[in-house]
Amino acid sequence: MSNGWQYVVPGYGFVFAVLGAYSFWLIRRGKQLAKQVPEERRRFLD
Amino acid sequence: MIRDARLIAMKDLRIEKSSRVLTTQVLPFGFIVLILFGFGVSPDRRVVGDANRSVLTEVAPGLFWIAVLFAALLAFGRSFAVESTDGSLDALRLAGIDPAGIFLGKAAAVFLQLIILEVLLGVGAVVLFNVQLAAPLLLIAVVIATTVAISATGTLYGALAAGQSARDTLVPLLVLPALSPVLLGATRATESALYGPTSDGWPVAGLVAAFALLYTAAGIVSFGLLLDET
Amino acid sequence: MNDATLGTASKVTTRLGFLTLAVGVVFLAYALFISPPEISQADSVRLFYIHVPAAIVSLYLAFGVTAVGSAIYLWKGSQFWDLVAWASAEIGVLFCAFTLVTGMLWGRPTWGVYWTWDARLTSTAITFILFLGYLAVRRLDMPADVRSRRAAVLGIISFLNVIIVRYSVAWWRSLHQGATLNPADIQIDDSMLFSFFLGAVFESLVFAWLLIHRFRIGWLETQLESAGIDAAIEERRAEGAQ
Repeated sequence: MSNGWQYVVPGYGFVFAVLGAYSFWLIRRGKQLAKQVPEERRRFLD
Repeated sequence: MIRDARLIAMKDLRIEKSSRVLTTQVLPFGFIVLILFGFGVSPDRRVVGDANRSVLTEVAPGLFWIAVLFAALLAFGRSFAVESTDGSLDALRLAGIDPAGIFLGKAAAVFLQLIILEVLLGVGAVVLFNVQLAAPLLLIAVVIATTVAISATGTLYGALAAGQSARDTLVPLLVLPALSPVLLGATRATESALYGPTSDGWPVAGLVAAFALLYTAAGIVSFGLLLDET
Repeated sequence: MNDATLGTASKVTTRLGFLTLAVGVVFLAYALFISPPEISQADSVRLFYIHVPAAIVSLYLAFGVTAVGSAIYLWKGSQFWDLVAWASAEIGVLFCAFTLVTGMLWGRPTWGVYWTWDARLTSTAITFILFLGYLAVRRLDMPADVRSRRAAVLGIISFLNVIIVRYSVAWWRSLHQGATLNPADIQIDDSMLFSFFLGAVFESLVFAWLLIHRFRIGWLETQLESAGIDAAIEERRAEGAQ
């Protein structure tokens, strides 16, 4: 049996690439929206 | 609730009787699906190690139920298409008809139409796939349990997408994965009804019936929430 | 009040983000380098350190939060929980995709094929499609409260479906006992267990971080919508006053 690295690397690569892309999209979209929303409404529940 | 359900069911069946969409469109569609399955599986292919048994006959129960599911999708679409004109679901609600009654009525109408469809498609499958019918009691139990499950699920999800132009694509996306356990159960139980032993099939039919009851209950409880437009 | 340049970030999420990154680095070190290869599966076992926690985070944590959020929304009508349910479902679908991809990549060297109709893999695939349906409903064009109510009903039913599908597929596969290598049969040592543990912590932190950000985006979107409506009303009033 092959040692499996040729499957491990794409697996980790896929997961981390997608996580990175999704996080990037979230942050960018958040900034876009924050600019449009008037300040008194830009309040989070934290 | 029951009285409202009967009213709604009669209404839907009357519409069907005058439009004949089931017999002139859904049924031929089901048949062509069965024939295409024959092309897909190839009727000459034999079971490995047994030249007398064809693969098509062996997988016939699954193919039959998939054909029924596809045809049922058309029936769900039809069930809500007759309501979407002029907001007639709203009108029913305003007329004081119990939402649970609307659910039960529409599901019952779909149920009756599907039963007719299944009998006719069943004859088609017996002829086309060379199936020998056996264990009629188990078969009847499976057909009823599965059809209740399919009608309840389809009516519930049909209401979720009601009034939407995307309904025709959304309902299959919602219904098919939800019904996947039913397809599994119905296929196994039908297999054991046709090829034995039937003792394997009864508990499975019971599981399908449990699923059917669960979805019927879910529909009764949630239909009011789904239909409220305000 | 938030600074617009920060977007959906805040002190809490920044700290959480750095913590997540730090745990992620330790996790990668353990999962990829420190823990030994498994005896029969060699290095492909490393996929499990992502696969198993992703499955748990997605199927039980994320979709569970969606179901609970949906129930609270129906009960109390709180927009907060409606948005939490939506955010959680979207991230759950993402983790579900991770589960599927890593599971298939693990199956290839182990079983020789990407797909074996393994009970868990199959039911995860169906669950994935179930929640894609939920996300599709959230995108329907209808009044926001009607859509939220329908989505909430669907969110609860879909979570119940996850359980039904899981049991029924497992039962179906148990009828066809094939030559499947049971994932539970792995020879495990402490550093491997620790890698699992780190994977679970890391992915839960990622889930929390993404959930907060995704929730805030949904929140800003609804604020933008209602701000637009308010502005339109103001405009009408101004017209009327003239």
